[in-house]
Amino acid sequence: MNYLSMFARLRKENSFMFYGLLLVATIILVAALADFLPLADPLEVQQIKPNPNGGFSWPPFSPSADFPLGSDALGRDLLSRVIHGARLTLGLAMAIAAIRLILGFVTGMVASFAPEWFRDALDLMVQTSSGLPALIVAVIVLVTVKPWNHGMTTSIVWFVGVLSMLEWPRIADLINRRVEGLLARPFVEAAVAMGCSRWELLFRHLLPHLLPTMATSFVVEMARALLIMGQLAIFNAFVGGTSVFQNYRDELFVATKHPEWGTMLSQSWMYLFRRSWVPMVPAVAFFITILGFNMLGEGLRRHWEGIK
Amino acid sequence: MRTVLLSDKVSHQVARYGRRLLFALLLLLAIVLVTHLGALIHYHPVDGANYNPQRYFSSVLHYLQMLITGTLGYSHEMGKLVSQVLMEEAPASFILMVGGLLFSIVAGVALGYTGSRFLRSRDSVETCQACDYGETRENSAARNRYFLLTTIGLSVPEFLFLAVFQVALLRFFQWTHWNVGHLMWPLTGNTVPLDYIIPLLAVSFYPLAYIARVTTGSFDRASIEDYVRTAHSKGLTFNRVILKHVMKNVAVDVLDAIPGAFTLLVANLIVVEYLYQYPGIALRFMQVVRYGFEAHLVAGIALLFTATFFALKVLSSWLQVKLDPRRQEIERAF
Repeated sequence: MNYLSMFARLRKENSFMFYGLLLVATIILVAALADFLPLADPLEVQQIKPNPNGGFSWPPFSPSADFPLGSDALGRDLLSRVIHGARLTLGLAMAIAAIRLILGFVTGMVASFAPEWFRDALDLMVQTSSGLPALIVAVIVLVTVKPWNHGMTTSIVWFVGVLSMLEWPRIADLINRRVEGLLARPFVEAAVAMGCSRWELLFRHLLPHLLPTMATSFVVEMARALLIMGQLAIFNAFVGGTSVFQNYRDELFVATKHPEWGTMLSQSWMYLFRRSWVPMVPAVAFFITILGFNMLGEGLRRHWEGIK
Repeated sequence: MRTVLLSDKVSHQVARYGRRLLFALLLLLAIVLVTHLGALIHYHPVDGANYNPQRYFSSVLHYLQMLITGTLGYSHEMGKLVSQVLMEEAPASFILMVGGLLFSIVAGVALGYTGSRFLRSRDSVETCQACDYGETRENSAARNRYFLLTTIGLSVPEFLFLAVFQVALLRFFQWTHWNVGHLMWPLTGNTVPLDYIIPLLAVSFYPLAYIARVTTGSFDRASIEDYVRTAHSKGLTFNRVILKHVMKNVAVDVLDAIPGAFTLLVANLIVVEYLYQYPGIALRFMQVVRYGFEAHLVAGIALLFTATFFALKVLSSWLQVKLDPRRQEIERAF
């Protein structure tokens, strides 16, 4: 198979999918191979740096040959931290999107075969969840519980749990509407007439038609999860705990340790006007990744609509 | 027969208002349950999390009783009633909410209409020589560029937009050494009318892109309808066809999208007021949540946002029915 011609055709016929896939694949590949890339240690603290012209400077260091994207307040290389941090951030977003999709799929399918009251209840849940912004609920729950003070595992469980519970009714409604449309198709009627059981109808006949919707929804939910993680970071709600550090003046202070984009963003916002690169690096990382997933989602939607 | 039809209509109206009431009550209960979570979970720096369901349920019941008696509670931090706090601080946020929503709708519809018109002008018509039948071929490059613009709009987080804008403004003033006194934009706060512009733009960025997408799709769907082709074939100008025939149907789709756009706007509002230190009710919400959680005040602010959403949804449904009476037959929750 000629992959080059396949990609050239994809670029011509569906440029959104091509560039979205390129962007997302690049980000995931770079994050996966972060340990093999020639990067600085993301946890290495550098409190003081000698200047070429004499004297010393203190972090945050501006972008230079030693720090391509600059450093944070502890002298840790931002390029290395943003690449290593992509693993945890994308992993969290993937977990949130997957749980939302599973819950939405199961509920949506059940609603399609359930009595009318179940569908009405689902509809009311969708309307109720749309009436209260997910960010407000997430902020209230996470800032009340403060899971980042309980350790990394508890922090991840709470983050993923809260954010995945927030918008799954919308996906359930989408799946339910899609299934209702499919149930009116002749092939379903034929399958039922031939004595097909409910499970067989579901897994053999309906599921293949639902896979495109689910794939597109997964990609779009990744983008939404990343957006809300960035917004929560602004309010100091992030995954991962803090550690105590000591600076060159022997002063103790608390700062975050694990490289994760939300963590980096929340701890660096105070430098926005004086050392703009410190919060901008994780913010731009969020933007590029969200853009990639949105483009991929749009490309997938066009691909499946073109096939239909 | 007439009696049967009348009772059908009455039962339909009762069912619809019953659904709306149930939706409002569910929303209220959800807000109260979420905002009182602080009573369920108490975090101690040494002992860790401590769960107290009994305290939680008594706190929720107490607040529901207060709501029934018509009070929103008292804020000990601020030393005044929650209703007083809302009346003092909500108007500033409402300026952003209403202004942002209106700007998003007007600019989004304009962008959607312009985009749809631009895209159709880039499409080409190919005529079959044998049968003299013309077929429109879409200009995919132009469409891709347009959709890329709206996708970028939907992907830019509001904190990045605000950060870039504020830093660019600061660097600009540093570079020009401008000192124009009260006309110089402060980067935070809302002391002069010019201060509303940046937060308004930041708040409406995402809803604008969303409404532009909905409008473009609606115009594209309407333009291939038979009634539009008939109007064109009768010699009506493009603008007349749009204003007289198409706009009403597009307006219905836009009205359907407004509650969703409002939810996006409220999420943006919280971030923008916090980052911009804009003295509104969303900033008060974040301050209370972060620095001294008061369930009554948090619940009151959340209720205000959802009451606004609910009113907007009712208004949107009513306007949709006025523009398109067929919408009355839709048997969903609203």
